[in-house]
Amino acid sequence: MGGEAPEPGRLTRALSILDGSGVPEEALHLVLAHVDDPRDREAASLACRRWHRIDALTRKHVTVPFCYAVSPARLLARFPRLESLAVKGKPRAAMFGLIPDDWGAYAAPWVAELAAPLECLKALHLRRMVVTDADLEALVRARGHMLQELKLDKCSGFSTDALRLVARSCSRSLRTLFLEDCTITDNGTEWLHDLAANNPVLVTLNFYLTYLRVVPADLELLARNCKSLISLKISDCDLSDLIGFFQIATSLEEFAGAEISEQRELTKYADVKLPSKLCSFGLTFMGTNEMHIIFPFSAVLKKLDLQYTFLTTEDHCQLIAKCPNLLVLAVRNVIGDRGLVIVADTCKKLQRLRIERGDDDPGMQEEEGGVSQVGLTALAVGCRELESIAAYVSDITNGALESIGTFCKNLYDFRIVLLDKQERITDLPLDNGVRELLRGCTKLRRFALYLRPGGLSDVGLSYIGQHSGIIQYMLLGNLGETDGGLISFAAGCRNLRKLELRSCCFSERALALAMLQMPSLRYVWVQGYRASQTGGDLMLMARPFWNIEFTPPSTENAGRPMEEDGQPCIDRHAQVLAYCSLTGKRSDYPQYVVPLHPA
Amino acid sequence: MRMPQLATTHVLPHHLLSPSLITDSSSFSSSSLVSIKNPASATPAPATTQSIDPAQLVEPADRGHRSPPPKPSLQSMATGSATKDSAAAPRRFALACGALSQFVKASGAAASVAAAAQETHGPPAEGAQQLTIFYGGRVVVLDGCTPARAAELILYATAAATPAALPPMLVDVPIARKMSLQRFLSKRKDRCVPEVEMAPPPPPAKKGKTEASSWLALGSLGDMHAQ
Repeated sequence: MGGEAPEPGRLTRALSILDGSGVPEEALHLVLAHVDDPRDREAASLACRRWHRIDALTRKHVTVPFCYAVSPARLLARFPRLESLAVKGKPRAAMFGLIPDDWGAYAAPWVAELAAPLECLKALHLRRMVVTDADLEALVRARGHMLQELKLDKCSGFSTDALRLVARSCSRSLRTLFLEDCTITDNGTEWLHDLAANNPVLVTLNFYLTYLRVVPADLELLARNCKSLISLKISDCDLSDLIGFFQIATSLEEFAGAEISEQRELTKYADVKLPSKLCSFGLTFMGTNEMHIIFPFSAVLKKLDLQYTFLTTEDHCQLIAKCPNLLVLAVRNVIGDRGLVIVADTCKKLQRLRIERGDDDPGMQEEEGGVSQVGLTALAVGCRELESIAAYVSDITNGALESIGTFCKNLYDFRIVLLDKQERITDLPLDNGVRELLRGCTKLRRFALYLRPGGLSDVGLSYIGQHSGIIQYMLLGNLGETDGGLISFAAGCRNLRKLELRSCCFSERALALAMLQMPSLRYVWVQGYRASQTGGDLMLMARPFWNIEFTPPSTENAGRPMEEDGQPCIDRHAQVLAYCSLTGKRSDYPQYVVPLHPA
Repeated sequence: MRMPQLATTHVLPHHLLSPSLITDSSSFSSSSLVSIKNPASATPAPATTQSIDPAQLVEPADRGHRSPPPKPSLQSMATGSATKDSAAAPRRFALACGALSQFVKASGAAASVAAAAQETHGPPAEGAQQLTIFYGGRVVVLDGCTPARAAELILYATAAATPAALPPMLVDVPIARKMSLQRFLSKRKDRCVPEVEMAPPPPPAKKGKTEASSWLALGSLGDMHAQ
């Protein structure tokens, strides 16, 4: 268009939206390029064929929330110019050892069918999937020249050999290599050396919780070569071996991992000087005598991970009192109510808090630990900016939940698990508290409530449905009393997309009927319910594009993984997994999974 | 215990009341119906002459009760062995138990009417009557079975007749641990921490066991929690 104002008639025509041909293609491209939210994108793509096509060509990122919902081929046809793809595989229960390794969620078809044809792809994120060395080989062959971001998140099935290949093939472009909590076969430390030697633009490296061996000299090489490195999370390597690394990595802002291998060796760690810009920190096995390492920069600390430390309740109190700028805090419940009160008084900007479950055994210096309504209430009143709370609590009251509803107006993620150690809980059922929390926290999108029998009545369960608002994901455990509770819950959940139920009292029939009532539901996982041997009643929810997979209850544990003490992780309880799918029955299910529909 | 909530639509099929159904005990197979004999009724209870649609009989299992199969107190009663080859057998059994319950209610009312009307009859206390059970070729006769007790027996019987073998209730599903934390906690145990005295491991939590036994009640979970 030139600089002249068009004549009125022509102007009307040019701006006409109803007549799509009036608006130039380029303009639409530009406008849609600024539309990032996938829901807005979806709405735009439904306006007309032209907008659909432009959305398809300009969509930069897609997350496939469940790998069996859609086929790679279909994704390719829909979004041929994708730059970034995230695919999620196994049910979340896999993080708790409840899903066997051979359950499925293989990356192979995704890599095979997309790595080459998606010519713009530069970022790939796979979560809870099985990824082999061959898959990674295929990926780097196709995309190595431009791959910027590779995130393998809680994946398994590959080895350090594949990492060597990645390190050597993506040298000009790799900015992020994320391997946190993956199960990786350790065939040597060369991969880290190769990475350090060949990837000068590396910004983020994370192999936290992988238990890979580390050679400190390779980390020093990394620090020397990767001037842009700002985030490093490693596996176990004694902190004293990193003195050299920290001296070189002056730009480092985030560090986690390493370990204190010898407690109370004051001289050993005396020379550790952490980089000046560090504002995110976590140190494995850190104890009372080592936590002073944090003191010099505690005032600027934004993220602190104490989940894997040996700190006592008192230590938590002392340390957190020095961290007024914390945004993200992760601890075990050894922090205790006392520690939470300190958090409430000190960390006024806190956005995300995770309180994990500690050891049940006595003698682990966690006697003072355990979080209750006392700590939660203090937290609610003190930390008004909280957006995400995940906590294992030992005791709870309606009042604590009400307080959260009253004060934490920014909460979008709330998860609470009531531990089973304490016989009597102060104030059950939690019907009213849950109602007030849901009514108060209007931005809530993710919600988990795991109690015990008696924790929430049918009425309380109906409250959850009634006040579910915009919640998209829920995990419910040990809630409700009868099938009626589930049905009334389901009647209220308009926006619920993903539901996980565990240890519940509902019949198969009620489950099926409840699923039918939730209009947005596209994924449901259940373990621990009144299962039959065949899952027959589940067929009540059979309908097109809705897959139902049933794992029958069994007394054998053949093929199931074992815990370290020899106890089988997976008990004999049936599992149900039902999900929206455009691909029909999956072809890679193991023998203990029965596809009910499509059969 | 509380009276179980039995379906109010239970009605007695007309033909079941015919005396011809009460045959010789030896001819009964394991899938026989429970037979009801009530010699104490002086007045014909109105309920016995109602016309019935058997289709209205509701299977106990549908009522959404959380009843596990507890051991019944009577030795001669089946303990879950009603779940034989055919699904029809337990269903008929359940129907019969429903019939029994209806009759018990009706004759409970009738007996109290009878007791009020005829004092010289020497009625047993609170509508207690004789209960006869035919099962598996054996006969048990209970004198002085109150309606409440009869209802209790029905509960045991219907629970035993439930088709699906339900696993023990869901308190047995332990709260799962995240594997990453599990690994950390066992590593911590392995490490030598001299000044911390390792107390002997605590006895396993008894919570599961006590709550399983309280599942007998069909009442609200609040009752269980209060124990």
